Amino acid sequence: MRLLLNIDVDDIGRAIEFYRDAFGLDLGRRLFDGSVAEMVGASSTIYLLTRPAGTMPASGMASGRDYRRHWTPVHIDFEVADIVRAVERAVEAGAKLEDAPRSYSWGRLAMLSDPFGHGFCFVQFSDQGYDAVALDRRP
Amino acid sequence: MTDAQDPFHAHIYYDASDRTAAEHLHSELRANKGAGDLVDVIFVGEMTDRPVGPHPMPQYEVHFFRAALPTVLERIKTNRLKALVHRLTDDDLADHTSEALWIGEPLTLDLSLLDPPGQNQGIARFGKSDF
Repeated sequence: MRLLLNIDVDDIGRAIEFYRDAFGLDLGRRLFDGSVAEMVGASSTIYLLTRPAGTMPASGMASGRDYRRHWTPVHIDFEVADIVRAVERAVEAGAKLEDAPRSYSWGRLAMLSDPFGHGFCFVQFSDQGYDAVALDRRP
Repeated sequence: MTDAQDPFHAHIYYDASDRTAAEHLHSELRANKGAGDLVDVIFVGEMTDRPVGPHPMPQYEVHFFRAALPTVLERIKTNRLKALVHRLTDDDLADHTSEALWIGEPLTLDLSLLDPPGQNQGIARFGKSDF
């Protein structure tokens, strides 16, 4: 099954720049009269969707879209080879570093947010990766 | 295990072209450290208008705990200044090289002046003094 990632933004131009500069993604196609940008180069295609602040994401919701820093139950981890340089690049592009890289048995983790208030992480796996914390190891 | 009390340094660089911005941030940090969103900033060193230690250009040193990292970085970026931000561990060389976070174009440091492994003098003077 293919996975597509959709990210709401309120400024498609700024979003294209950020996702290109912060993660090294490329702009694929512009879709739907330019309101959607397809960003390629990661293992899943990312679609940046223009959705103005205040609009309702679904009927019956208590509040509309808000691009100040917010919590969502789903976030993206970007796996990188050098987490310090990845943080440096993302911060230069406009990300906010919320926690510097920390080390764990499985690798390193840094927590950031994009200019649209969405949290994301960089992860740099150790040689063992999640095998270091797995209850059941894959063969 | 790392935590919110991990010690960090920011070395904030400037030259004649951005000394005013650097001075503005220096004053703000000194006036507000230890309170509000700068509660975890505990020391702001002197503006040193000459190369010192491994640093090839004028700079000042800010000591803070991990929890202050977001707000310190935001202020550096807002003021469009160049900075080296690093944690203090027992590996001074790694702190200033592979683990160093640069805001702006990196500078070439004089690595020969860093402490040998296991002897980071910066830890002892954290929160107390600069060079």
